[in-house]
Amino acid sequence: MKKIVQKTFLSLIALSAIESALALDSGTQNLTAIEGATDYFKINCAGDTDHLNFKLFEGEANNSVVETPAIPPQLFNAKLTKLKLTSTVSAIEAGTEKDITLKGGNGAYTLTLDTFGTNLSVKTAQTYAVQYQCLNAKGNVTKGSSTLTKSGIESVKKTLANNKTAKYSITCAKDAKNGNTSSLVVKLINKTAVIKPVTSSSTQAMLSAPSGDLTAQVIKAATAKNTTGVAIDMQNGSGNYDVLVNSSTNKALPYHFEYSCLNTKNVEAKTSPFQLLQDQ
Amino acid sequence: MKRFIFLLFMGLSFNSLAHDDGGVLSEDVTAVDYFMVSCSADSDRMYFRISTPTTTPLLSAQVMKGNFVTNIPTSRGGVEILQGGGNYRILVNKNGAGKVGYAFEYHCENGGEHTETSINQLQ
Repeated sequence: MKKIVQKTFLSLIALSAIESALALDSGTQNLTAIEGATDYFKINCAGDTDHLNFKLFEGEANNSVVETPAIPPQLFNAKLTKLKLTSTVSAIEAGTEKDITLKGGNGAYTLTLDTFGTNLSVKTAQTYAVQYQCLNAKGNVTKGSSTLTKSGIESVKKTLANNKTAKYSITCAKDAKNGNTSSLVVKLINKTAVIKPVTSSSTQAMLSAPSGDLTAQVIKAATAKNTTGVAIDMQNGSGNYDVLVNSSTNKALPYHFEYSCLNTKNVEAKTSPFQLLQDQ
Repeated sequence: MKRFIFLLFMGLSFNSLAHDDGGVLSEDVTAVDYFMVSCSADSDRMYFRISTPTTTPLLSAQVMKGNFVTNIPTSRGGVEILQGGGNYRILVNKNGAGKVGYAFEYHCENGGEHTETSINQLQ
């Protein structure tokens, strides 16, 4: 037995055998097949402990970092049109921005936004802002106007629900200094909050029905209980509890155990990390 | 009384010089019989062997002294536990539900000689 993992769960875990929320300590060990092999632990329960709850699992604990899959993006698509001219930009994801340009000269342009491709399970409306400029062939600013916002100024934040479209008219005109407009450039800023994957650490025993190959005994003073996997409560107050783990079939086995010192209301008293006295 | 009847059934006697004992574990898998064997200070070991006429569930005993523990299933036969004089704790249990009768033999020894031995059932 060479590997020891000792974990303290700070999070509250619901156990089927214990209805109240409680903190657990746990351990993962390997029992060898040497004759008479027994692992021996000492658990100290302090405070107002009424009983020790102990559960044995065959198999290793599965300590894993769980990352929820990223939610498919919330996005916008933008289209600029003027008569028969069209320019599109697609998949402007939450937290990003893209420019769209159309060479259409002076006149009225139509900006159309939609959310096609967005994860429809996300019901929250997306938010965005728009900024535009009309430019001459040399890239100098010409006249531009829209009810959306003034030329060169980012619009106020707008919202757009899934499956909806938004249309705006932007008009470009000749500028006294820089001459005629060659193109309209629109910057679309997706201001929707980015949904980040949730990362969490969890420990789960790979549960299997007790085979009877593994047994544990919990002892305190002149009382003792045996288990092959069923959760047991040893009601003997605060102090040191001895725990033995062994195999009646002398098999080499990985196992996991969880324990908690509880008061009369099944609320966590003071559970200390276990002490390994014999490791076989 | 159940213990006495079972020992008679096993063909054993309650002779303290023979250092045999036993009992009947109740149905529940959590059942444990718990004994304390005291070996005189001149002892260097305790001999222990447990047996049962039952094949399932499997019966085992754990013998503890200080921070030492060994598991003794019935299949292991007699075991010499070299832990000197003092108190040896003995647990008897099984790996499943079912009523199981058992008998065990124990001797405190020094080399091949028996030393003073006494037993007390705690549970």
